[in-house]
Amino acid sequence: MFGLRVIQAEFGDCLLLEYGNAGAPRHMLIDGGPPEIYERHLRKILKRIADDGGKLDAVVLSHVDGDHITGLIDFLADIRDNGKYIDIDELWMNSFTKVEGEGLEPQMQNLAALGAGAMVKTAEALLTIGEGNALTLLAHQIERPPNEKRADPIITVDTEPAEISFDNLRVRVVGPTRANIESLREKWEAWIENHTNALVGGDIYVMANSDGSIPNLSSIMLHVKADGRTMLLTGDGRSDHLLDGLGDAGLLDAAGKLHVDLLKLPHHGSNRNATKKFFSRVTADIYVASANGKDDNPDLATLIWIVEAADKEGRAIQLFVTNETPSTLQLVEEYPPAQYGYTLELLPSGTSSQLITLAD
Amino acid sequence: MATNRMIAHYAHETELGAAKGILGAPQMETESYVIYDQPDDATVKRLEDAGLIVEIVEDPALAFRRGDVFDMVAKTSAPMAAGAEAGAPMEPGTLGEAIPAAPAYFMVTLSFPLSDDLRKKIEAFGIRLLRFSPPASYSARLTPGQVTDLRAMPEVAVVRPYVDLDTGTIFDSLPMVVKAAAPAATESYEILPDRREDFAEVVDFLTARGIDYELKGRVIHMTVPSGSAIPGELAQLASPPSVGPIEPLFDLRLHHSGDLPAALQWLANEGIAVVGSSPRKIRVRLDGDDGSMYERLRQHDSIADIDPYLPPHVDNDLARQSLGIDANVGGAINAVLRQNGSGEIIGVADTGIDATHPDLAGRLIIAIPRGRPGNATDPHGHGTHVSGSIVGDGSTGSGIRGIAPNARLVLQSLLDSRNRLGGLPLDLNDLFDEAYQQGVRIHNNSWGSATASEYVVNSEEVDEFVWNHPDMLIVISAGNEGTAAAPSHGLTGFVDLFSIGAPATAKNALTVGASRSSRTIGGYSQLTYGQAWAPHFPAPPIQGEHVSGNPECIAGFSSRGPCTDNRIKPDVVAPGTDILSTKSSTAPGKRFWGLDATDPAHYAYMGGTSMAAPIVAGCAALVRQYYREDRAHQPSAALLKATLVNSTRWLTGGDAIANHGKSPNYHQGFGAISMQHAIPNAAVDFQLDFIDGWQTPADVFRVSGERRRYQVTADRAGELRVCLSWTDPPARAIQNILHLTVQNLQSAKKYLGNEDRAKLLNGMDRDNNVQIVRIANVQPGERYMIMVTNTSLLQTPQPFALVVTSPSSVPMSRLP
Repeated sequence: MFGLRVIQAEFGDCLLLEYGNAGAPRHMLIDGGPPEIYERHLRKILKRIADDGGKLDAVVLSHVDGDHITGLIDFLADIRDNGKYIDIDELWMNSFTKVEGEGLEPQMQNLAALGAGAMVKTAEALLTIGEGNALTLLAHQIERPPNEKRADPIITVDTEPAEISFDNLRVRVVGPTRANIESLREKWEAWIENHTNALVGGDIYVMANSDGSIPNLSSIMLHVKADGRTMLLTGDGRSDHLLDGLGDAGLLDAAGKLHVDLLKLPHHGSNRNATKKFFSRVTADIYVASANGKDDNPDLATLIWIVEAADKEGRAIQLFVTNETPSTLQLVEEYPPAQYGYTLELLPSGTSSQLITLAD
Repeated sequence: MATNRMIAHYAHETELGAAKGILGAPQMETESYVIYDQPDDATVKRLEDAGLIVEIVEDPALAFRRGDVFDMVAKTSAPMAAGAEAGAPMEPGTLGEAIPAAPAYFMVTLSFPLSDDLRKKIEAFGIRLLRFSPPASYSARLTPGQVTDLRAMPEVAVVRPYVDLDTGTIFDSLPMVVKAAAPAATESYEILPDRREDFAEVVDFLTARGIDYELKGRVIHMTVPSGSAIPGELAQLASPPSVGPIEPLFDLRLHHSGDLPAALQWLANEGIAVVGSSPRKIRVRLDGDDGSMYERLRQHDSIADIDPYLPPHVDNDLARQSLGIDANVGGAINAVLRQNGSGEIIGVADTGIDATHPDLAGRLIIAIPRGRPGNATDPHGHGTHVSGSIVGDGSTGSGIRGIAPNARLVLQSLLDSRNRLGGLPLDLNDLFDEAYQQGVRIHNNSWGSATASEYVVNSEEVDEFVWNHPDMLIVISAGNEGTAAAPSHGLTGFVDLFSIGAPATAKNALTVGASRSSRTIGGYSQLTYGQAWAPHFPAPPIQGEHVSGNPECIAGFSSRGPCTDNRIKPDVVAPGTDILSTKSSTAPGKRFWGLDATDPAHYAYMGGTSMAAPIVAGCAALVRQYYREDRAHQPSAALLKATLVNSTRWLTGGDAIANHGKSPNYHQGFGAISMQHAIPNAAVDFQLDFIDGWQTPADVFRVSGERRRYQVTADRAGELRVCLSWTDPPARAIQNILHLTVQNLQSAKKYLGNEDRAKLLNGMDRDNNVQIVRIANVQPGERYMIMVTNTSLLQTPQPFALVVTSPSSVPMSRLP
């Protein structure tokens, strides 16, 4: 079987891949959502898997950002403190240090330390930058160091050139590319130069996330297939980076296009991470947006691009959004589903998750 | 003609006689030293052979003429004669700058130590020297006539104006210092989102409205037209951030409290907002400053120092809470010591406390809410953890106890609604005084600012409080700024120097660094430094070393000395990794290094110098109880500090002795607290003698050059340990210079205080107000003289504390 369980993560992402044998499905968790998602929804879902004798083949953090990582921190801390109720085989994440280059982070922290003011003298206060390090620490504590089974400390299209198999699932890393990482490094260096003042007293992640969303751009993006069906899981990545990676991975056709069964929209359907053109090059039958209207996500423009692109080609599509938002209401009003050949499905209010099945 | 001078220190009249026999009448004679012009090397050798300790002191006038002492003068805008250019020949005392017609502040550089006679001569001109600035300068307020008087004195090398660079701050290089304020007709606000994930919402809101903003770490600064509705609208967001006016705050330290009214008046005339003031400090807000006001402050005569005030805050996203004390340490101490803290009251200024915790409920005298009205609880967890390390009594039945489980606690909750330490007062004197009034005599501070080993106004307030309350021991965590990311004072793979925080740089505090606990299970103990904090420990050996497990090593994150005035810090270290202690019920588990496997609801692991300090505060309570109960003595802070420093065990881990293998060094200070060597106990056999000058007028210095001598005789083999400590007048660098000398009276061999210290310019330690001598393998029948002297006193009287532990049965006696 093959499906994607979309978990109610409000403005964040929390996704569970299900595959393998329908009688004893296998699982891979991608992101944990923002605060409270683990306690409210994810924990009981993982418990049920464990109770049925299952485990997690992998836990993937797409990128270091509060609305993706917090639930994973809560999850790992829970396992650490209250017992490992479910097994995790491996953890994938690209840490700040690894991605941005060693030496950069201490440099920024030294600046930050100078202006940090009085603080409680726990070791974390200065030594741990952001939740990325918190998750790394927890990963080590539960003896699942990040990327331990991967070819390289940084997961990229280039360092994982082959498909990675979990039972019937085939995973191809399609982002970031090594070239993306290099350009990000340069971007960071320039950013640091321009923000030296701000860094004094600073929380690097917060500032970076608020100012150009630099860490987002290093999102691990995956092309997964099983039983002949395909999905693209895109984190908060940028569409041009995704196209780079799809190209490098040889997944684009001669016209530079790709069709998948399911596309998880990058960055909660924000119109800042994708372009109209992207949605004509990368198409799907089902589009998933994990968003609740915060930051105007999913953006109405994104939804319209998708609907118009499909309508133009006469493809019937389904939009799956985890919450009703002003943009979904407006879309339905301005682009009546019957007229434009799409359906809009919402995660029913009060439910923790919904499984979108691609193959039984 | 100026020349270098020799200070020859003598311990006996025979040595004094030898000096006079060789060189004739000295230029200056005191009870412990004589001064001559520098003789030739052969003569120096003869004096040393006669037993004198010889110091060669360069005449400041010579250095001045060479241009390498006061080169800063040439960089200032102060009007000067051409001859005052750096490097130009210059006769002492003739700096040709314009002398203000009215009294003003000056720096006076002496060619001789400040003897009693010299001070009286200077005072006869109606001059009071305010503070000492090593190696030989003093600040003073002078009239033009007094400048002339001083320049005529042969003992005075240089008199020059106190200039803006003297007033400068270490933070000058940071553009933030004067950039924070907004132009007129606008207002600047500081926005602090409640949670990390709320940042984007605020930024998007501001961006959408075209508002100028600047990200400053955890806060966002924005500038809006005066009267803008934006601040109000921000409060309507889904997750409303805290919004308040930006406060570009600076602490001004005055030369003299008498200048306060005039300084306040001047500030009022200048239109500078005063936030608050204490006798020698004014906190101002430089609204709308383009930098020129800051410059005027620097040049203002009565302002001695300017520090930007760094608002305190806690790192609520990252600081994971744990509490507790290393069971092994606690177990060992309780096994050999009778003391349990009974009768002691310990103050803890921290986030708050979970007063419902069974281990703490019976120990708490009062929890004072200073940060949140009526609320001293601990959603953060830090304060509960720290408190448990000191007084946790194991009421849950866990067996996990603090170091002084019978002591009682006064908790000052500093955590404010913005997750900062907003409960700290303008002047730290007020924080300590509040606790002192509650009976607190040992006060723990597991917080601070990262000031890169600089001594700031906060440090001075600690020193001032102890100077005025000599029986208040203030314990401060050294800081967690230790990093091996790019060592500039050491080797790759070893932690760098100069990272002590403030107020941990205070002279009169007991500053505690963190060693590694012996724990091999739980918390981060199984992780390496490279795994846990990769950016800071990128290279072996420390990269591959475990966070805990080797108690001979220092925690990688523990801040290292020295202070920028060359003082040794930390004073001591104690375990500070994977410490198990009480867990606040309202702090989530993920904030800790791990929860206790047996009782995760009540105990958790944590690490940091925050965790090391309370262990030492608890030890201080045991020592204090000993003096009160067994010696019928109310100990001074200096005596408690001396007793604890005297106890230390020298750690031998590679990182603990990097750069310098002998005690003291800048990684572990004087070493790790070892209570079995602190006070008499069943396990280790020694006699403890002490002098505590604050209670015995005979042991107080009133005159420069005085000495006090004592004798102890061994009647069995063992180790002789001596520690001298004194509470020095508040100011950067040691103001009253005391020395410790120990002599074997049979062999005549002399041992100088801190003679194995890391920075050794000459034999006598002029930098530290804690000094030790240790002599292993003392034999029965050996007699030792212990001598305390002073070279120079700025403020008197100066008491001192001396602790002597020895293989003796006869009490230490006093020599004339």
